[in-house]
Amino acid sequence: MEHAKPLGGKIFTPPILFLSALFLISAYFLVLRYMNGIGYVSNLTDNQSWGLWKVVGVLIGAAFVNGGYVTAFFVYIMNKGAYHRFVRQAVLFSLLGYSFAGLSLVYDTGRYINLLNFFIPKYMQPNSALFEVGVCITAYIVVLAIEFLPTLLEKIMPDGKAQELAATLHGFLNKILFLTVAFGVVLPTMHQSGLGQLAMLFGQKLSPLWQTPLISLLYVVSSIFMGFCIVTALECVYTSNFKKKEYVNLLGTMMKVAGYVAILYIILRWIEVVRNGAVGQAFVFDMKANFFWLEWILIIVGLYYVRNEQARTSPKNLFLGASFMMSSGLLYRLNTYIIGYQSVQGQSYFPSFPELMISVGMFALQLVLFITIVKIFPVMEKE
Amino acid sequence: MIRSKNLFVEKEVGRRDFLKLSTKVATVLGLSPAFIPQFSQALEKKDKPAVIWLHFQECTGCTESLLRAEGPDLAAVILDVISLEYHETLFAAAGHQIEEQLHAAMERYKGAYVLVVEGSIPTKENGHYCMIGGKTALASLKEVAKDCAAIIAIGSCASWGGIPSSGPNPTGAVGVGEIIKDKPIVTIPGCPPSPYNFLSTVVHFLTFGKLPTLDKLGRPLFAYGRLIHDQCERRAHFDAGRFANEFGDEGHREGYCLYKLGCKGPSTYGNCPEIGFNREKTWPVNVGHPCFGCIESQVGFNKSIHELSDVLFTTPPQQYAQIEETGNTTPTLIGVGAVGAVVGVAATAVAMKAKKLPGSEEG
Amino acid sequence: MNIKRRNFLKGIAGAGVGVAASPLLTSKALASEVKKLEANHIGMLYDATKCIGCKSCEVACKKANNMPVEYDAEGIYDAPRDLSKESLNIIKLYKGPEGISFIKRQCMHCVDPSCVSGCPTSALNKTANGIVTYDKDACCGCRYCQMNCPFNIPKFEFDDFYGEIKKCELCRTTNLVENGQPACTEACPTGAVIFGKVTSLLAEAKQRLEIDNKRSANSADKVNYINQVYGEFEGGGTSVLYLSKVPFEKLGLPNLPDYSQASLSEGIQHTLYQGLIAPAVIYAGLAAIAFKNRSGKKED
Repeated sequence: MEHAKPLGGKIFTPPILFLSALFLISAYFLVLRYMNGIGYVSNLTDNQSWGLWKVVGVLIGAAFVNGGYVTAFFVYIMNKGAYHRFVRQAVLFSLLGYSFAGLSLVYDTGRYINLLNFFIPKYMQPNSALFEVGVCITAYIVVLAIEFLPTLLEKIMPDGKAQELAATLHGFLNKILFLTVAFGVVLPTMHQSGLGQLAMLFGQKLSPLWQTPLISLLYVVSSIFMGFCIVTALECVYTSNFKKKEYVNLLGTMMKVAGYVAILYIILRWIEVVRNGAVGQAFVFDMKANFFWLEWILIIVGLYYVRNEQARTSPKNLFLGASFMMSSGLLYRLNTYIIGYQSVQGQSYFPSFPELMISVGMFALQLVLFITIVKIFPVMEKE
Repeated sequence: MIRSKNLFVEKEVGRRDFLKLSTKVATVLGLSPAFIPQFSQALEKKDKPAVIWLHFQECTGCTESLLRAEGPDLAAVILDVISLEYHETLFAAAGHQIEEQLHAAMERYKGAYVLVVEGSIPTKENGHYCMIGGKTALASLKEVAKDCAAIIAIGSCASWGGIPSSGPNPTGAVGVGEIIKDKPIVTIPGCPPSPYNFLSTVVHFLTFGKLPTLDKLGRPLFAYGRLIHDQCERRAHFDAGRFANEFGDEGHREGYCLYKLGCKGPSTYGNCPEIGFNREKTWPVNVGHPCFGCIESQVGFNKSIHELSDVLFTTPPQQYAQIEETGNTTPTLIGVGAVGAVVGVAATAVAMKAKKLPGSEEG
Repeated sequence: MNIKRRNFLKGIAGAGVGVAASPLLTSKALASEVKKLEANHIGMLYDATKCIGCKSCEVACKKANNMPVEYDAEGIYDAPRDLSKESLNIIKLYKGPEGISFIKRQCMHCVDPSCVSGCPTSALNKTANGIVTYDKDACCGCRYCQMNCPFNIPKFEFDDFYGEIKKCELCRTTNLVENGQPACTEACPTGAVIFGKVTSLLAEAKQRLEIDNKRSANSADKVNYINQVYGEFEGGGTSVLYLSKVPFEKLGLPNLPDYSQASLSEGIQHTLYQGLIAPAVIYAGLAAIAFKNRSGKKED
């Protein structure tokens, strides 16, 4: 990557310090969690056993960071070299996101040491979608790490002694890039679909507004448009110079594709809702129905911002469109596992303060790492 | 000082005894202590109802239980409250003499005397299984009941047949209600019933001029209105699933519920757990033996003692697990605030960033 | 640009076809995935009309499985309101227009359990005699079983720093071994819950229904059962069967379809991933395209 450079700048800026403070709060609560159990720091109960950590940390987090997935597909499979510049930031964000999603399991599972059983043949259970998700995500993290390795190597390549080794490794990695990249497309497809597939076993505990045999496909489709959205959004956050028309066009095209995929997603979702005979439930306007409609409002608003070529020339519209569409996708995941899920009549769940702070703090740590790495390593391509 | 013709029991009964009795009656009837003076007054009245007491197929246990009552000496009191005109156990006279007494009393108090019946009446072979003074019990009852004002059937035998009527009932024993249909009958079943159930009925009648409310079997509701199961001191053990499985096992020694040993409390009406018997106020379950339902006609002497009882009504305690127990986590204010803050911050950040972006729609 | 869009859409369509076709293949896949009831499977039959709510079964279960007595939220002693990590079986009360009924709740030992299907580390297993067992050494505490059980049975020790899942295992290491049957069926005084082979229990249940149907409406023995054995087909079948005169849904037993969720989910899973063939094929295809793109000219 010839044009990518470290962004440079002060490491310990006020935002970094603030985010670090958030992380320290979560570290405190994590210590309490390990000493006293999950129930001590969270509002998880037998009736709502998966809450903020699983849903926000793993499910939503995984969708949030799908930039790497779609850009790799776009660039290496669809051969759109121009989008090459987005790959590294997407891969880094994905790597951090997925690693932390995996890490969240270490505090969200009750018997975390036995997480190693995912990789011990005696205990593997391949019928389980959760097993597939776990193994896939682990493999994907390895793939992302390999994909990101060149960036690291570029930073250390100028340093004399490691140069030759780094150069060889770099060359080798480039040679097998097509292999790793293919993994980078297959694996996320598998585990995104798996994350949706998990909800299939819930049966009628998941409201018919969301339950469908197509749920794994819907998760893949939504993760695709969410991937484009996150890349666009991050680019808008980090760019100050939008004068270059080609650059804005690139973002615009990504959002156009995202828009088409989103429309496909809307159609498929609604076909399933109608097939389930659940349309009536949407008009009851209880909490489930309201959150259901909120998903559609968010995605329609997002689509509106990127509705035509002219609208897509404005970075503001691109950013807002991406933000709204992504929110809709995130809400879909929240709805599938918390809002739409009901094990017992009258059961309700709301995260506790320590529970929330742990998620917030861990996310803050991801941001700290992302910002710091982007400043030190050649990830972003800026003018 | 009391005197009664031919009576061989003579006792002194004072004012204090009347008060004690009145208090006890008020308790048994479930009435407030305010009634005590009324009861005392009624008990001291001059005009006492005449009572003719007949015995048929019985063990005399009901009379004996009355005699054994203490605090005050119930027998003595009752004999002062009523004018006992005929009683085979208590009267010293016998033979022709006592027969004359019976007929004289019936004549003198015609239409006004209370007939108390103890024991069941055999009906097979024209009732010849029980004969007194050359007459069958059946004939005797019909004759004496003809001119009585009301009948009190004391004990299970007189109420519904009792032990003589248990299968195969060779004598065709039945309760008074099967024979006499045209007189008001109060039944006080039990084997024996608590003497206070009998006494309170009498006092109630003397005080208020009418019988206490009866159920459709003629039993006063104040004593037989509730299942023994619903008054039992071991009920909590039943509700919590703690049972004695065998006599002498750990559960039995801990005083757990005797349902599994055949206690018929759940299908028997009575007030035994409330008022008990004897000075110590004991009753069978209290001392570790299951109730066998002596009061109840389809239960006592019908079902075997250790056979599992039907549970007539289920009255689960308030804290019994309900079908839908909600598993709520009520959101704390700080939790809601924090989530709101996070969402708010994110939304604001997006909006602020959007503002800073160039918004022109021209290329 | 048009050609590229077409390529892109082709790519998406290609990747999506396998996944989209899955529902159509589901019915075929279902046939091969369904776990069936075996002749030697053991279970229980609970007849709610015979239950007097005495809770002997709760007490016996706690004793046999060394569970402590619980205090409820108000501090009341030994009055559990629901299944929990310390109460593996519970009697609940229903009061309604039909009168009072009790219902015994514990693990249903489903024929094709969702929990077994979903457990990623094989902590929950359906053994040869039909008991659904739990292995704490395999369990990673992910609690997916809690989320997917249609009866909400598994309970987790949330306040333990290294908690386990707790549920009824038919006393397989305790009373079943010592006395040949679970503690609850042994303790029940009225025979409301009995133990045996599921096939025998099903026959017994059906016989009770048949006998009651033949009784005249005003017979003193008439029970008026709901004419269904719950668990015969529900969710693919369960090893614990229920009879009642109150509609099952009112007693908290959910109205489930005749197939297990596991068969549906596994059907899709196997269609997509059996032998990892489909992913391998897609992978090979994508790698080939990426290789070709790398050596050929970039299009943009």
